[in-house]
Amino acid sequence: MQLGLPSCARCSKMLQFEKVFFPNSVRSFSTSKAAYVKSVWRKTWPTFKERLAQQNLEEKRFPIPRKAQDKRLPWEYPKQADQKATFKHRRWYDVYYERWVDTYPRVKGKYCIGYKDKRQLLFDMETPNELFYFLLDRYPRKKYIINSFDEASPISNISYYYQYLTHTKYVHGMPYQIQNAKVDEEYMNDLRSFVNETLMMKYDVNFSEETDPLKKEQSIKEKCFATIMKYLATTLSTENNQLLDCEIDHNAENSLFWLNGRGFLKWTQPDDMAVPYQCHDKPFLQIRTKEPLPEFSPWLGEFSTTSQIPSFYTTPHVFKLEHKQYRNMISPGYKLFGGDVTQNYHSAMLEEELDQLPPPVYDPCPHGHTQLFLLPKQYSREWYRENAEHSDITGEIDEHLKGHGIMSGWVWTAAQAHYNFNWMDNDVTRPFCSQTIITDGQWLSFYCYQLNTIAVDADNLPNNDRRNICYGTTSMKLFDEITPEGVVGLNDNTLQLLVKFVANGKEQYESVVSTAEEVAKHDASLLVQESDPDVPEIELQKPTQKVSRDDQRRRDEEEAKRIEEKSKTFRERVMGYLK
Amino acid sequence: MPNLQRFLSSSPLAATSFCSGSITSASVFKVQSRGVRYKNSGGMIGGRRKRIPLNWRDLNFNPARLPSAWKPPDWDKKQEIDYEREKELAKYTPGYKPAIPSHEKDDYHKEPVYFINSSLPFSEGLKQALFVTKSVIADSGLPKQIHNLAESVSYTEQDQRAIQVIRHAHLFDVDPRSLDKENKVQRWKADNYRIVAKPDRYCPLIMKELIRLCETRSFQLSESFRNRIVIEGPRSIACFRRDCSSLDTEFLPVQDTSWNIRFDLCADMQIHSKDPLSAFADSNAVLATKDISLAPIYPIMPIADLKSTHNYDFVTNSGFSSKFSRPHLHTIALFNTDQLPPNLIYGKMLTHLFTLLYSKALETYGDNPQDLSSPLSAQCVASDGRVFQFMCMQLNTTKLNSDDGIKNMVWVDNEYVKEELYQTDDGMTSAAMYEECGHTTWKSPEYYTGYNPDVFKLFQGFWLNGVL
Repeated sequence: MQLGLPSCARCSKMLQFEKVFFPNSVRSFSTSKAAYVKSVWRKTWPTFKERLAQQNLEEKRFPIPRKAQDKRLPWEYPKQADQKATFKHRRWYDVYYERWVDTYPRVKGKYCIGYKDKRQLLFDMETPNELFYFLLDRYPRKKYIINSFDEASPISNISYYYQYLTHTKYVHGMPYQIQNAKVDEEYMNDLRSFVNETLMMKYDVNFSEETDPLKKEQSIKEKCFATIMKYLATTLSTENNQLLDCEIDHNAENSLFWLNGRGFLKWTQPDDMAVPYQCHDKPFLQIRTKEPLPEFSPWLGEFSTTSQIPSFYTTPHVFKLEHKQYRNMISPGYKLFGGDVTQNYHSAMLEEELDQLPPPVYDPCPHGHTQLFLLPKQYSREWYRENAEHSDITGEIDEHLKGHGIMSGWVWTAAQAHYNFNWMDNDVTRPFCSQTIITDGQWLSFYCYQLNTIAVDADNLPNNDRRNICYGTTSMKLFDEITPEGVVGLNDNTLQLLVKFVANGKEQYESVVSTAEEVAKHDASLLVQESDPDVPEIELQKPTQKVSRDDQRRRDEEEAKRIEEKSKTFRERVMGYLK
Repeated sequence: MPNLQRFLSSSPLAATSFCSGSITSASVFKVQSRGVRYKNSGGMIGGRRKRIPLNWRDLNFNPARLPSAWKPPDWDKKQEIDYEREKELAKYTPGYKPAIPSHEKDDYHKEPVYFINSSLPFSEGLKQALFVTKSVIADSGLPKQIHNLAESVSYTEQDQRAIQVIRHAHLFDVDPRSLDKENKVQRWKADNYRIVAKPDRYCPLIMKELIRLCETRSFQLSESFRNRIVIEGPRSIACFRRDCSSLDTEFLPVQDTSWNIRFDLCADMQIHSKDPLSAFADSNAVLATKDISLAPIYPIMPIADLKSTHNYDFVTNSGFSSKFSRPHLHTIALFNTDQLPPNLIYGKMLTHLFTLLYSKALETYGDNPQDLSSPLSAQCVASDGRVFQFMCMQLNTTKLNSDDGIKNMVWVDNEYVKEELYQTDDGMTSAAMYEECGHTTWKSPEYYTGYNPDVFKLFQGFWLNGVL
């Protein structure tokens, strides 16, 4: 007989029980509200022996059986000699030692993802699950955490820095197929009235009682934009057939782990380690479809291989970015596969149906279409003006938005490419395109991201001609003001761009684009953001909005000087010359 | 040996077995005194459970077994507020908001109001809600026109799309809360146990996506799609005086059977349209409700388990301004994320429907209690992501000051609801869209079992009512 204790407190490995919280019980409503949440200790495995079967044999204590297990062919499992699985099982059962053994390839020699010659093992992988085990879980080091949007970031000209991190070419303007797409006038009339009424819900509808004004404002924005996006997705399904079967994620989280450049990481390590980065991205809403978006720029065209990418010569510790270790993650907002978890193997074996076990299932809509970001509730364009905290940094507004567009486009598309069984050494063979919309409720920014390469680490980059492309237009006003009487100054261009984004697909592409030359010609006419070759430092660059702002400022100063000169008396003027 | 066994079974350690599920079994290792420090997590990969305290003497092996109603003897004394001192503090401290006794506040009323809000439903469920809102169950099952509509609206690919929605929510959705960014969870645990979708995540997703499917369908079918709008989380308030004349007060603790009642509710989602929904029952059926008596709830008071307060404003508010372009309520959708049983969720649906219809009726017909010349009707769907409940309501009267006369009418998808009304909480049943869906449902190769096509068909018919 065993004691009633859940487990031995000293050996955490032997844990047989986990705490499970129940949802609010029925009776807790009638009693006081502060009632405790009901919970029980649930057994993770029915018996101690079965729990033990989940662990591998220790290599030091059982060297010989471990070698024997590793030599075994992974496609067999000991049910019957003639029984074989229809798909590659994650594990097989060792009858003699009563243990489950994983079937992923064993490491021979040294393995490290920091160097290309030491990660050749990745080519032996058969499923994306195995790939991620070696690519992500076998790299337990500290990494730099990148925020796609952080208004308090110390980095000036952040879009240049993100261009370097993601090896992206930033282009001012929209791609050919978006620029030249046509929108129906009748449809626009309907949409205009609908958007008007939706935005007026701020005054017409009494939403839930929320004391914090920022939170209340944010929740109303969320509701309005979710309504507008869903309206677009339903009404445009006649023109764009793939929206009929699309899936919409709400409050998803996209993440990406990647290596870029070499640098110092730790005192005890060599100072040319591959530098790891991790980014987590939180789109408010994203649309995924069964078919990929058509390319924005020709895959084999000149535009995807030319342009100078800004460079940066130190590790990001200079920016005091977060640097910590936790599980490395890659996901484009949905799980890699469903089913095929380890409990299934055990329960199937107990029921003697191991040969009936079904293979994992995959999401039918793996291709990203459009994602919508809401900026955080404390975001305000007023904050960038001169105030007690800082001087006038209004030039950084567009920089932050551009950086956000580049980073979230990179994270989403590169994660899709990894799910497609590509990694840095096995580069993509077709472009991955997706669209990003960023809004604070009033101002919208539109980005089209085309992923041409994910081989951006230090070993592959010298031999890599390809660049990712991000087309963008920032800061378009949706409306001037919402008053109790109505919406003032609804911007038609912004609405049209919104429609073109959601309607983008095969049909629109075929109706607009006839030859690749047209597209190349259009691309060549656009302004590309490049760093100055004489002064390559990122913080010294002059993006377009800063140049125009500086010109304006210079003109203002000259004007002020001229007026001051005029107002002086003759004597003062002469004294000034003499000085 | 038998002695040892008896010792073990009588000892507190043996009593804390898994099956008992008592507080103490958890508390030996979980609820410790504040001073206990734990060993840091070891190793780089994953996090170890921080179960080993550095100093075993800090561990409290004998946590008190206290009943939930226990409080420290000086609790009440400490909770008392010295209002005079508060006044003095307010005098000398700028910006200080003093606590005021409730009878001195502006919104104080002599008579209390019994209120209900989103977190406090009727504890007796449908039975109690029917009595308070003066409603009767009109017919067994839903009105036939809805079933007919559901047949005519359905198309071939709908089941496939509904299944895709279910699998999206249960198998492929990434919950940001489950991503461990602090190395607290061991990897094998995160891969194998933290994969189960939580109801507050999958329930809203399934409902929103199913609603989107129905909206797409309505756009394909007719032009009236443009008259509708889906709104998330509007708030509405209904205040009324309920006089229960038929209640037998002989054995009740109170003699007065009229109460002020206030419903303050936020629906999770609702659809509004420019045209009102057509009535479910004709005028003859409405007149026939005079003869039907309200379902008795005798040993229970109508206000049983309702909270009361003296500070309130007794104003009915539908939550929509008169300028709003789509003023008529069509359908309400409720997300049953707490997984309430059908009986309680039916009560909740009825309160939501009544609040919106009653406040609308007061806006259109004025504050005087009356039998409505043209009744108002609306529908409600509730779901916990798996089990679906449907309800239709027709508001015939706002005369709540007596139990006689015309009554409001309610239709419920459960055909045996009249019998099941008087059974226990678990007695009532509802239709499930599927039996099970998840990563461990390996018995079927699609990882879901028992899909019932009728439920989505009915859902779609419900949502498209009045479109054709």
